[in-house]
Amino acid sequence: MKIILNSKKTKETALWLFFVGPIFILFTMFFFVPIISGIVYSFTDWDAINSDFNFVGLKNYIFALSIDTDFVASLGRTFYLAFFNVVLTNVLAMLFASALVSNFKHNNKIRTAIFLPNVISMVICGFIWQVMFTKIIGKFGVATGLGFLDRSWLGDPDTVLFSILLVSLWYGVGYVMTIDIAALQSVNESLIEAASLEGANGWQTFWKVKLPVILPTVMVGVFMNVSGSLKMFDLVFSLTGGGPGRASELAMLNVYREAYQFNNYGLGSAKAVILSVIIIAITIFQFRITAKNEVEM
Amino acid sequence: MRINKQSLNEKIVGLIMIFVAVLWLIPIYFIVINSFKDLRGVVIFTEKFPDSFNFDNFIEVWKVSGFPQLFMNSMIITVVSVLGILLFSSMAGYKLSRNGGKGAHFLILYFILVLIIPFQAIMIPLVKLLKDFSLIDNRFGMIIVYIALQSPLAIFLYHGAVKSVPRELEDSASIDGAGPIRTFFTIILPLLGPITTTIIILNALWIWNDFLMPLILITTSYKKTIPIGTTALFFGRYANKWHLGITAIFLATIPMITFYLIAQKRIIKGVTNGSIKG
Repeated sequence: MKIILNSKKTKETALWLFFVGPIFILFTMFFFVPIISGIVYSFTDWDAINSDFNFVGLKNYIFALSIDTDFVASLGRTFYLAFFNVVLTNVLAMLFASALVSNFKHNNKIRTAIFLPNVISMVICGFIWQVMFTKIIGKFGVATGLGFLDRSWLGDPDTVLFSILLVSLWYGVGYVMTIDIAALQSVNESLIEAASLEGANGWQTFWKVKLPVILPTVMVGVFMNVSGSLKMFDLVFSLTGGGPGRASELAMLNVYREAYQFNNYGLGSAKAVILSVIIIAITIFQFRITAKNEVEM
Repeated sequence: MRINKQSLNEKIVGLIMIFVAVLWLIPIYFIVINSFKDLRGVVIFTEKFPDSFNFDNFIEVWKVSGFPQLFMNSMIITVVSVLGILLFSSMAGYKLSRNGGKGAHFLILYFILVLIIPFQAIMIPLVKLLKDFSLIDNRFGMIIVYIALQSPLAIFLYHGAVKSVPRELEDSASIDGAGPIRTFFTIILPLLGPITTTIIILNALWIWNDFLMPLILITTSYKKTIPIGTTALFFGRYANKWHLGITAIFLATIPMITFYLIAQKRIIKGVTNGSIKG
């Protein structure tokens, strides 16, 4: 009897190893181990030149946060851009989605066009817009008499972040809009009819009837947008390279450069940890808010 | 009367949205038309429609940049990674869903770490790790990393989908003498089609378009994928040669735009499924 039980247990263990084992090992090796080693490296002076390194305590963290003003500035810039990006992307996406759930016959084609940038690599989108900003928009301004359009959009520290925001909206609105359309279509027709019988106008129906129903789905779009904005890298890499000077250097680009351009792996790791902790904190904060919302509803 | 007013409103909103859609396509339009011009045409008459369609740029970029090689690399890396993700995550999602309990719960929390901890936290150590395994600058190494990092979300999606598959199926298969592994692959997995499509679409788009991973992991030019290869061209060989740079951009967008136009409905569905359930 005991032997049979044992073999049953062995069999179950073998099944676990077969089904979950491979990905558990890969995930641990290429995700969990690097997290731990990244934290360890962040306390060292490891660089690309010397193969051995020394522990330096909190030196990298102190340097990153109090001496390296460029890093702190890049963090501020990232938050600033992320804030406007998240608000504008979601407002525009909801506006477009509301317009596109009507019976207008070309709605599908319009949706296809607005979603299109999403299937293109973001780094390629940066190049596309480099052409727009440097070769097209200025000429359009001259031709139409809108002289203010004819300026160095990417070369001027005052406009470069705005230019990045514009491209980011062009890229990101379609994705959130797609989520919002699905959410709006899931609202029960009879709810809307009831509201309209009660004399509610479109605006009231949206805020009081539709939005509460679709909020959980809409929040998914918002979250993806928040973390995407905080990690923005590809677009800046190809559109501005962080310039002019460092005027558009976002946090991720600063970390990348510290590690791969200046070869300071230890300092780069510390910066990566700082950025990650911020993103993790914001993510957990978001999870909490939605959990609370769902309970209330 | 009321209905007429409503449909008039719909038409006005519709016309505004057509304008928005046109606005959205303008950048693509300028890339397309400038691919057919020579350098002078691009620099001086950027906004003009080309007088004639000249394919010289395409021939030049196709031959000199090794575009077919970039395409093959993107294709192989995307397809193999997606297959790996499907295999490992469906197996794990199934087991974790069917044999719940403390261990399974803990494992799911462990995998979900990937949704909370951003890639930058592992970026620098990952390069060293792959160096130690001699998997740096190696397409196979990158595939392994994609599988490791992209599977957790898929496990999560499969975990949910398996719940809707009745357990009786396994019981009857087991009475018929089929072992658990065979039952999974021949009976359960085929029933998970819809979520599998979603996972394929989301991961294919993500891996094909990814830039940061190949940027830090791949250095040899013939091993590069389309996004990183095009970037190298734009900043390297074609710096200041706008006509060739723009043609390279256009070529880089063709595969995914084609895929989008063919599989549009499934892509839209994948995006909405992935976010509502994820």
